[in-house]
Amino acid sequence: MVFTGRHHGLTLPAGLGDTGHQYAHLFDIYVPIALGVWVAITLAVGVALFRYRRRPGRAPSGRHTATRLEASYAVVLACTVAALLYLTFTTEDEVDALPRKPGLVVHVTGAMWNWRFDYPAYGISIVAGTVRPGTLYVPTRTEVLLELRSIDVVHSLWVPATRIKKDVFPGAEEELGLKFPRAGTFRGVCAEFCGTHHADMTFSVRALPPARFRQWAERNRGLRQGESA
Amino acid sequence: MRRAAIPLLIYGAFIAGNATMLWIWGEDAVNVGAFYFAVIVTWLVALGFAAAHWKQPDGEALRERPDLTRRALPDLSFGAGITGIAIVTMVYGARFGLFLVWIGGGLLLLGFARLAAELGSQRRDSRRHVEEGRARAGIDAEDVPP
Amino acid sequence: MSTIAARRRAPSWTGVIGATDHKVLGRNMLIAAFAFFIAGGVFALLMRLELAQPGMQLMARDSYDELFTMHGSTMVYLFVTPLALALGVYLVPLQIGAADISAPRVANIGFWLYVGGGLTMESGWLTDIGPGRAGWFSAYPLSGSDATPGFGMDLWVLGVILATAGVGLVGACLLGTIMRRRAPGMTMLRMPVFTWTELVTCLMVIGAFPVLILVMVLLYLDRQGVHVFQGFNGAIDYQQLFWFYGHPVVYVMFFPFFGAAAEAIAVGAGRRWFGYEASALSLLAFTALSMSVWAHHMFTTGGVHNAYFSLTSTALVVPAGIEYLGMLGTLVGGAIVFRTSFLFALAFFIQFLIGGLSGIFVASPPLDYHAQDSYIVVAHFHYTLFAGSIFGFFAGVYHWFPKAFGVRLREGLGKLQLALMVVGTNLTFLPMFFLGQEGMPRRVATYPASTGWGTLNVLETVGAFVIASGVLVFVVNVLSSLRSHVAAGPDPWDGHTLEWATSSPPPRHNFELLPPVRSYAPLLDLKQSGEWPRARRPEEALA
Repeated sequence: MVFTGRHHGLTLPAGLGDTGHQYAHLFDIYVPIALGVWVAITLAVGVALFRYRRRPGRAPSGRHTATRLEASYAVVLACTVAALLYLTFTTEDEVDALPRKPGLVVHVTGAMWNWRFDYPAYGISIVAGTVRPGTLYVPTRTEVLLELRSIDVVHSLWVPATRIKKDVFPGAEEELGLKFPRAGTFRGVCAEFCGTHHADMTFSVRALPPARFRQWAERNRGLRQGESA
Repeated sequence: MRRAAIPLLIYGAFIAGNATMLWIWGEDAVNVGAFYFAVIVTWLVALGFAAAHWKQPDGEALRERPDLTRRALPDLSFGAGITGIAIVTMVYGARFGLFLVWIGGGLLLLGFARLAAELGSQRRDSRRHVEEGRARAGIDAEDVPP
Repeated sequence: MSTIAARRRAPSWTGVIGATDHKVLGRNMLIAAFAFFIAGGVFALLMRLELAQPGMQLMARDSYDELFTMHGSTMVYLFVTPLALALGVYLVPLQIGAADISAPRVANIGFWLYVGGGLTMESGWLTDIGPGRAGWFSAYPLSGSDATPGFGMDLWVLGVILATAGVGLVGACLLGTIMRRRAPGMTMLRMPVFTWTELVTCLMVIGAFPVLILVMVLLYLDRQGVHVFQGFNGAIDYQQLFWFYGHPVVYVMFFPFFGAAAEAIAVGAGRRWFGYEASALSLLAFTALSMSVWAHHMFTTGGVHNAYFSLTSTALVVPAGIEYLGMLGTLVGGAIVFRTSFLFALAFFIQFLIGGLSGIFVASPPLDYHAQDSYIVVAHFHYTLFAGSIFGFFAGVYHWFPKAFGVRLREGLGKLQLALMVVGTNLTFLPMFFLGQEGMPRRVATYPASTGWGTLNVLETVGAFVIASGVLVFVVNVLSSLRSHVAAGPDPWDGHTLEWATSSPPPRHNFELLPPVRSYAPLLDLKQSGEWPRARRPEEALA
């Protein structure tokens, strides 16, 4: 199957970090069920079409209710719903949980059409978007807390590899916890339409092993890209 | 009560339950408010239909005496069309320019005047229609509730 | 043929302006909606041309934003929603044995508000800064006067108000018709399935449409300098109120087409709809739930109670499953004739299923966190609205065209149209699931070449033009069938419901004689008891 959360193929490699795995876990339950239901119903329709095509000498059946069948079908559906919801709710509790002791806090500010990433611990400020291409550096295997806010319209921070996005509103702070299990470079975008250059409000994420991340942070302490822009 | 309203009441009860569940779950006022607005509209409409006794052609009456209950139908209502176009003109004028509001306002008066005339003549037609029907059926007007 | 001669008479302009006959109003509304469909379709084709390759080739970024805004707005406010009610305006009085729609003058006013609203919205194209370009739901503060200034955006807001008010008035008239104008014996539980779907549609219209009008009036005031929405709460409140309309309307754009497909399935299978009472009851549950799911559009905002909306959204599986059981049960035991209308209805059920199942997927917040605002969502709702509703619409068109115009559409061209549309639809919308899963966001005019999304996007663009060719075949079919002069007769398909008991097209007051109604398939009852002549189906006439 190419269309899964986990495997290679038309899709990205495995989802990253906790959120990526949680997504893949649910995905691998929901999608096979959905595909199975679609195939089953389509097959049933196909068989019915063939079996009950009009043939001379056979009148249509007069039976048009089956209360017990309908009721038991409804019960089966309701049980399926309950099971799916149980999985969803338990997974969502994990996904929504924020790191209590984050290893890194980054203040993210969205503006038409740039992101600014502030590292209060290091005095670093990085800008990415239409002004300049930019990169959010994060350590791997560390809980990263992003504190998001917007200064104008609604944006949405999305690193597709992490399988999670969070809307970025003016006048309020939203929080998003991420964890990158392995080093690499990932694409980040604004997912909520925010005007003319919405498509260009992109950034890169560079996940470095913790030691190398600390190296990078110390070397760039006090870097302020946003000041003059 | 008219039994036709029962499905509306079932539906009304269903959304009232959903709205209350949302309220208990602690959503914000705008959210719950919009939901209860819809609940109240639905209940008012459902109760209105449940209690309705106004002239109506459904029920066995029409089958037995179609001549008594058939109403005059408007074939054409120029007044309604003018009224609709007038409202659009006025709303467009609200942003485009005041002159359109004035033109629309004039059209609206014209539309209302036409509508009033149409409704008056329709009422006269309906009355005549019913009276003729009663005459044909050979009954007194008093025998049939209005 | 006198009926055909009557049809050919050119309508007078007073007749168009003042139409109060539900058949004329319904037809005018269908024609207007179809015109907006063509416009919205052209916007989509232009978007697909731009997206076929990475980078910007054809247009400025703002033009693309205008195109997707007006594509969505035209399709939702001006095409599918009015179309859903227009079908009801034409057919419901015929199905329930009424002489006309309730309050026909109000319905006429509603028609003009809808058309006027549509023209108001589209007239934004004539302004120097262009029409609305903040998306079909125009989230605040992007839709505020700071982020999206300009006359065209104001016209968009006013157009939405007018069109929604107009469609709302028509819906109210239709509700009155269903509640008050049923023929003797036509109890609620004897109404045809299509009429049931129109009833629940109207219930959503009266509950949800006023909220959209309210939020658009507030947005208009805000744009004129009155500060209505402020800060985080203002932005959230706008979305709450908008989606309170915005989700029910999705079902307004679904139920009547489900109803049309159900009628085509039942008549095609030669037997009445299976599990009618269960279907009617589950339609009520379906409707109540669909009023209760709106904030699943807001899972990623962090401003709503995700669990509640996930629960209600997933619970939609139950009533939807019952409707599908009804479809299967109708096929089983039938004597199926593969007409174009039947095939379109089948395509409706099979393709809508993809939209419905992917809807369960996005009803789960942890999955939606990824899917929201990506092409997964675009694929999902196009499978429901286009691969679903529009196929249901065409099922209805092929089914009822002879009733409305006195002539059948050509079956050969109809099947060609179906084939083109099935291929085009799946070519266009299936790859979107994969693009979304890979991380392509919605509403972008361009994407980096390095993503490798070009191939799938080219396929989608080709698919969009295949769909367009299918629509073209439909237009040709209508024009050539209208010239055919072969009268369809009152009951060309051996129908089950009252509309087939009168002439095609029906006379001004619809019925010369009302047959007795004993079930939700009154004409079928009479045919089975021998009180009504069974129509020779055209397939039998040929054989």
